[in-house]
Amino acid sequence: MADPGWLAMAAAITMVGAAFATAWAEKVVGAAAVGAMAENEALFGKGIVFMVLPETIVLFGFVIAFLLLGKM
Amino acid sequence: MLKPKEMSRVLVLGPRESLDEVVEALYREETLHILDFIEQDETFAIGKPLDRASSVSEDLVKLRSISSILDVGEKRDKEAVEVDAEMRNKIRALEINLSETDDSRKRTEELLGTLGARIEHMTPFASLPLTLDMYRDYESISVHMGRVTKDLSDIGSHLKDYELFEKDRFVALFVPIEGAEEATVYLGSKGFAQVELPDMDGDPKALLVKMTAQREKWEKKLSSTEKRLDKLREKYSTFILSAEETLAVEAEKAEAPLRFATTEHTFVIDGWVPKDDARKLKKALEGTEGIFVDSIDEEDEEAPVLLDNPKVHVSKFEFLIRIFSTPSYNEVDPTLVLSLIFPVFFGLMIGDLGYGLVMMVIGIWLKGKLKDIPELSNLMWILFVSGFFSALFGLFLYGDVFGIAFHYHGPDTDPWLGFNLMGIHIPYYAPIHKVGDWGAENLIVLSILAAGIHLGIGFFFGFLNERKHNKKHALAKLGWLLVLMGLLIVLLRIAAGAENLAVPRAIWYNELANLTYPIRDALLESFIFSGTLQISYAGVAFVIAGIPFLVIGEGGLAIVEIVSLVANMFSYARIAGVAVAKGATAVAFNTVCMPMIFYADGNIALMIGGAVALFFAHATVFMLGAVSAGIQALRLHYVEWFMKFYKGNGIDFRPFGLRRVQEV
Repeated sequence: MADPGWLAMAAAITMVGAAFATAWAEKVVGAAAVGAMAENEALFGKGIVFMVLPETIVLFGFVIAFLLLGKM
Repeated sequence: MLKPKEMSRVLVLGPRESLDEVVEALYREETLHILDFIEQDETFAIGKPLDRASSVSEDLVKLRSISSILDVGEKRDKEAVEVDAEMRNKIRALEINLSETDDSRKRTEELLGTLGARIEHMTPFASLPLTLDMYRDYESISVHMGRVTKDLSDIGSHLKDYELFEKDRFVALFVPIEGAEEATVYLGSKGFAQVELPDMDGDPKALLVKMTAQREKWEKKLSSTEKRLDKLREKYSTFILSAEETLAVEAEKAEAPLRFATTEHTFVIDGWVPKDDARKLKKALEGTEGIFVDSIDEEDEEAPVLLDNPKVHVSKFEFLIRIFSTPSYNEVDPTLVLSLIFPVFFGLMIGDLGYGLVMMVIGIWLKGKLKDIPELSNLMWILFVSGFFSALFGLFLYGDVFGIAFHYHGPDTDPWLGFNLMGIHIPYYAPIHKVGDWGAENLIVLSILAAGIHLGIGFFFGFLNERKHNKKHALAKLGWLLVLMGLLIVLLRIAAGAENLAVPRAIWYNELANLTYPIRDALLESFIFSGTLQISYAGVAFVIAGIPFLVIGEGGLAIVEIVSLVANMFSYARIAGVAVAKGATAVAFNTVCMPMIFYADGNIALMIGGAVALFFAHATVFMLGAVSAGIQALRLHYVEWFMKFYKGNGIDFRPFGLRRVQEV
């Protein structure tokens, strides 16, 4: 059994890293998507799909964090 | 329900003399989606607009200019207007009347503008005791007029010979010609900005009085002109709006032949009509002499799409599909499934009796209020249904009311956050507590189960879509379905290995599953690896069984894609993520605010402060929760689900005669 303190730290670092990566990716995609939408409003649906794709990264972080906490 | 309305291809042929009647009939029936005729050849040419087209559009242009001058805006009440000589005369009279008034308004405004500038120019000169001719025509004196930013009291030490008039930092400085340069340098150091002399003669004070009187006169005139315009607007705005609408209809009708193919004596209209309305349309058209209508039932990708869903509940979700893309004609219409699963996902994410009930109330209230805006009213219905599921799960799955554990969750529950506060004990044990022990883990498992069901439907739809299209692709969809089931069994079985997880254990070890225990045990209770990572043979078997289908249907690389299917399944963990995050925020606010209210020791101010803070805190959680749950639930449909089967890019069914009300 690992030290709960370190496990909690690991979970926190996982969340920080994953959330930061998601934010970074969505920043890039979001700006482009809004640009495309300004040109053609029909692209809203596709724009939103691309915009939210990177969210999966933070979800992986979320799942891993809970797996880590489960070992406490 | 799962398919758009069936369409028939219709050809309407007739002599050109009957064109007018046919257009009228089509407009009345409102069921024909006209296909514009584009390719001209020796026989067929694009039709010419009806004779009245030019006069109608001329009137329409006039009317639109009138309505923009009068700025009539949008009024709800309309009156019936006939397109006839009387209307044309009315428009013409209005135009003449208005153009004079409008011209005079513009001229007056222009005049007032010039006058204002001149008055402003003259004002500083009027403050000095000199007439205008005293400033000019000198041979040996140089005159400097303008504004300064600094005080000129030290002028005596810089200039020898000068005469200075000054009022409120406006100066007129007279110096001999020889001293002009010195004066310029001195004034420059005082922030001097030159002002030109007005091009008039006489006493500036008297001129100013005269001009101000003039300005008053013109202002009166302008206001009387504007009053006249106001009167015209009041009197005619209903007529203008109604006539504009009527004329727009007439113009559309008159220009319709531009979409038809014509020969010297005949015309051909090509289009689509919903199969159910085909007979009625045929009857309506064939009443006119010489018209021949032919309809063919054909399966065509190009047919326009009219979604066919029950008015109750399901059709209210259609706009969510359209935002993404209209389904194509041969595709499964996903609205029904969306309308059933979206509220469930939303409910799982909010999962709180309190928030759910508030959503239901707001939804049903605003739905009535926003009747005139169909999309918003539909959105409110969605909020109502989603609120219902939130309340349902809040009551039975999570046992939460505004973040307070409604049911008994065990001895660790904080007294003011638990059922003790309510003083009620309900003999029901909520299976998942979002912020309690194992809550998030259980929720993740539940999310993966949701992923299995949702994606499974997606692959099944994919199979239905590809079945007629491409047998190989259809086969691959079946393969994916097998792989998905396998992964689901593997993941859920691993979760069931954890002693503390109630949800997966409930899935495998419920009363129903126990009935099949010999089979279950044989399949699921034998593991490739024993120990903590219990991978069941049955799950792996499903995955392996699916792989040949994938390879045949989509090629060997598809095997790699299994990893992205796993990623898709974990993507549903956002349901758990939003639920836990929102639940935890609510609990955090309760932990801060509740003691302020219940342990205030009679301090009324503290109690009121606590109650207000609590209200705003929950309002925030409510808003953020509703928005994020809505977006995430929609995203799961748009991204994970649609990618399994949906192509979209269908053409919306737009029957001739349907006025596009919401074009704004």
